[in-house]
Amino acid sequence: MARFGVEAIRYFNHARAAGVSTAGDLTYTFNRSNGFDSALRSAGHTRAFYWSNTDAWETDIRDDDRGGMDSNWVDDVDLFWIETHGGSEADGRARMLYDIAHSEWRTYSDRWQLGEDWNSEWVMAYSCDTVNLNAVTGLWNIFARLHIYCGAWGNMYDGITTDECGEDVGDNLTDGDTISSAWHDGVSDWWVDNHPVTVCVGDSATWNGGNIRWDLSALNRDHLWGHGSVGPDLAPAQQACLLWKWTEG
Amino acid sequence: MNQQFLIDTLMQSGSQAPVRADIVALTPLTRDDARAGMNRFLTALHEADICRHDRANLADRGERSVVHLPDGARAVVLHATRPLQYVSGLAPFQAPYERLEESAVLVRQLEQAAQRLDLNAWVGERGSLAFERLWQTKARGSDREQKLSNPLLLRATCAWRHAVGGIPVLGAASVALHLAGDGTVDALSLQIRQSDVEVLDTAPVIAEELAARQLAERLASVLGKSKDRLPGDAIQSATLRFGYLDLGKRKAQRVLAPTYVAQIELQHRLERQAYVLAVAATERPYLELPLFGVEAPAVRSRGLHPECRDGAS
Repeated sequence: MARFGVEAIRYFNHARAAGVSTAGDLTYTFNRSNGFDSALRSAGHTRAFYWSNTDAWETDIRDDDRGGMDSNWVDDVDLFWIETHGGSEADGRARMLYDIAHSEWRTYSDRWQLGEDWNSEWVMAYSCDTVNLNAVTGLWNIFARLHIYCGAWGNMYDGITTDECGEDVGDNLTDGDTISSAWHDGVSDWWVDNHPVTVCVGDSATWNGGNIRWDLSALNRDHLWGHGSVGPDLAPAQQACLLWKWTEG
Repeated sequence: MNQQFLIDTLMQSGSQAPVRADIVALTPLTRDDARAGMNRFLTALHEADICRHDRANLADRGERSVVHLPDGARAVVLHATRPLQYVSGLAPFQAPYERLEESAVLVRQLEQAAQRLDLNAWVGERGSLAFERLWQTKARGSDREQKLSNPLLLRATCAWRHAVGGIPVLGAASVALHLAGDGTVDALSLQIRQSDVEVLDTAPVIAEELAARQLAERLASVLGKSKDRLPGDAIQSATLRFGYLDLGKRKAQRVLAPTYVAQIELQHRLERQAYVLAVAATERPYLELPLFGVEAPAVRSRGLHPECRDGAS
């Protein structure tokens, strides 16, 4: 079974007061995050941590080698769910906002390196726009044996009609969907303009000279532990391609 | 934020609200009703040659029942509101489209599949179903030299909107049908509120401008106080719709009541934001439409010792 961690931020009053951002609060953060947490725990998976609001810190995902402590948190669980405001840079780096500067207000993905200790397999970020579809390869460095990053290439709506997305993702995972399908279907209500995307790395056999063997990819093969197969870890030296799947409407 | 700008933008979208609207009772559902709905759903899928259910295996999972079907397929029903979902056993990259297709071609294929399923049989008295939107799921890749593969179309999804007495039931798509490239139905979800169309009341609908003002106030309270003022051009888009609101799959709901729903996108500095906000469209509220959801679970604060596992369950 899987160990998972959750970080969710609803209030951004400290970031606003500090002049770091004008971002508003999120309204149904904890409906989604609690729903995800509840769906996994009721299926027997273990919650390693659940940090909310100012207890969620950017150092939790920042690599140890870059001054963070990911080996204690994000890189210490199989699956990590985070909900906050997000964005991406022109070079493809993901960006996320926190409501406390511990030690910085924002995380940038060039300082993530996940899976080094063979723990982190999947990251799910219910945040706007953390994947730049024009520069997805800017995320490559985060895959230090991480299997899949689940994010958004545009807006992700917060409100009364998207409150069940977390529980939907959790139920999909424990019903046996692949990680990728669980994310795409779970965060889509097929009404509001959500923009799910899932990104993974593949080896040279998967790239296959550009004629991609999608059947070999983690997007096609990975399930939550205990609910289906999981593909192998790929160390950076084995990675030949970056693959992504997105939904557009 | 310039509230008047937001109000004007919302009103420009034209919600087409009527002067008066019915408050419609929803049928209370039991677990047996949910299972009866599941049986009907499975029969419909069987008759449309989408799946067999002669070896269906039902599992009770608390608020849901899951039926495991041959070839890795499953069907799920939630007991509270009887939404139904079918998921085929296709792997995500199995049976992709051979090429990218024009939207009109995909919509035509999906509408033909919908006809085969006789989706209109689910809409109830005074109900109707209208096409709303096409979605496409695609994939591509890049090697280390930034050589990009051609995009691959994996699935096409159509969403339909249920209406009762001509008023749309807003929220998650009422029907979402997903097709693979070989025409296989990869997934189908029905989220249609069951009603005997008992009209409990008929109420005057508040003016669009009043609703837009209330929604702008709701947004202002979400945005809170900021050191920097949010400029008017932070609003990227704002649309207003009138309809009944479906409160979600897991919430039993007594009535369909008129509601205004706004979708608002903002961008300022480094953050993009997208909100769905709702207010009652009648003076007397028939549904609770809280601006904020639940709070975080009760775990101990992290304090000054980040290495300890205070947030563990």
